[in-house]
Amino acid sequence: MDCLTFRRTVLADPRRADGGMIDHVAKCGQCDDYRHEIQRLDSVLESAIKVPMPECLPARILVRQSNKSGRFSEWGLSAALAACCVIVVIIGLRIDSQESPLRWQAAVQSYMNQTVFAPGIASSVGHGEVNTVLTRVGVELSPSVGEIAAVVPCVIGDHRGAHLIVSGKHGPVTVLIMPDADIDKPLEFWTAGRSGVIAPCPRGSIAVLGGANEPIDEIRQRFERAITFI
Amino acid sequence: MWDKKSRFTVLVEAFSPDLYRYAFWLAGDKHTAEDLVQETFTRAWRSLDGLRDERAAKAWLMTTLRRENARRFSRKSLERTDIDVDELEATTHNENGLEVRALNKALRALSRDYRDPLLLQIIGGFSVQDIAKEMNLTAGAVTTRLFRARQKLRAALSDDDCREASG
Repeated sequence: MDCLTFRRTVLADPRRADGGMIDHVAKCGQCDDYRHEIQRLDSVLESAIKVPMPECLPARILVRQSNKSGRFSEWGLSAALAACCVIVVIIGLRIDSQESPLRWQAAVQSYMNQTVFAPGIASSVGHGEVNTVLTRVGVELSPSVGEIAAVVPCVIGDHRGAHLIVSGKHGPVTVLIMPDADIDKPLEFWTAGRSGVIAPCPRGSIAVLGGANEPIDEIRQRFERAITFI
Repeated sequence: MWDKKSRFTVLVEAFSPDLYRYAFWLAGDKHTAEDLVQETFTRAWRSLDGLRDERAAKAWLMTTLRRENARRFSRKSLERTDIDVDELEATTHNENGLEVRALNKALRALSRDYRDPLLLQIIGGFSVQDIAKEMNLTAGAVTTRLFRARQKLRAALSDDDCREASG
């Protein structure tokens, strides 16, 4: 690949990184600098296209749909969500720290869709290293939790937490520990073809996501037994 | 497994911000953007059972929104409007300043031929092939448009830098 082709390709798709492009930047520093410049341009562009969404738009959509599909009585939940928005706007009250379950589901789903964090399941992180990350978010795990393949701090919605990967019976299982995202009851969870559960903890909540046949409840209980809030 | 209502709720909660952003840049004003997002989800509800792969949900919704916008023009003979500058300036005011505002301005000045594929790529995460299919163009034509769009934005940013430096 020559410099002209490389630069043209980068301008069309700054995220593209195929073999020919990697080989080219390895021997052409100027093109590597150029690629970084265009990637930076894209990150500024991300900010430049931001438009604030009207706060209650999702709730309005749900209420509108519930009105159209009158046979769904459970859609009252959506109406409640909309009512929450209206109450906040009109009375100016601050909703307490308890997370809206639906918003929390959506935040986790959005996080999972945007996150590429898939270490080889054969990898393993030492227990001390796991707790070094976890103490930063106010949590510790006892060794009884078993082997952890990977751990990183994360932010989901406005909540900081930890993203862990453990080995399940059928493949990698994601565990999200969110000490400041309170929910009041367990919720089924489903994203990107994976199913799971979000459950309340003594402080905050924990989400476990695995493949279709994964016994995620066992993994959740194992984490709940091993977790200490500090 | 989740029922239709729960699946729909998650889609609305997860994708409304990006759809609204895309709708705003397509339509040029916030009221039309809201209508477009609402209509998109109404259509999505009707055909939700056809969505097999949830990973394709965002692209599916953006395609629906794009078609809904096109229908808007076929229903009435509407003139294409400029982007609501006040709304955007309110947004970019608090961002990291000059570069964002300069790019915002340059993006508004871009012709739709260049801006549309760029928005599909940045907001929707579409590949060149996906954009080509969406816009009924060849992959080569999309590559050229994306290439030129970024070239123009980069030049606009440099011009702005020069003006700042000399001003």
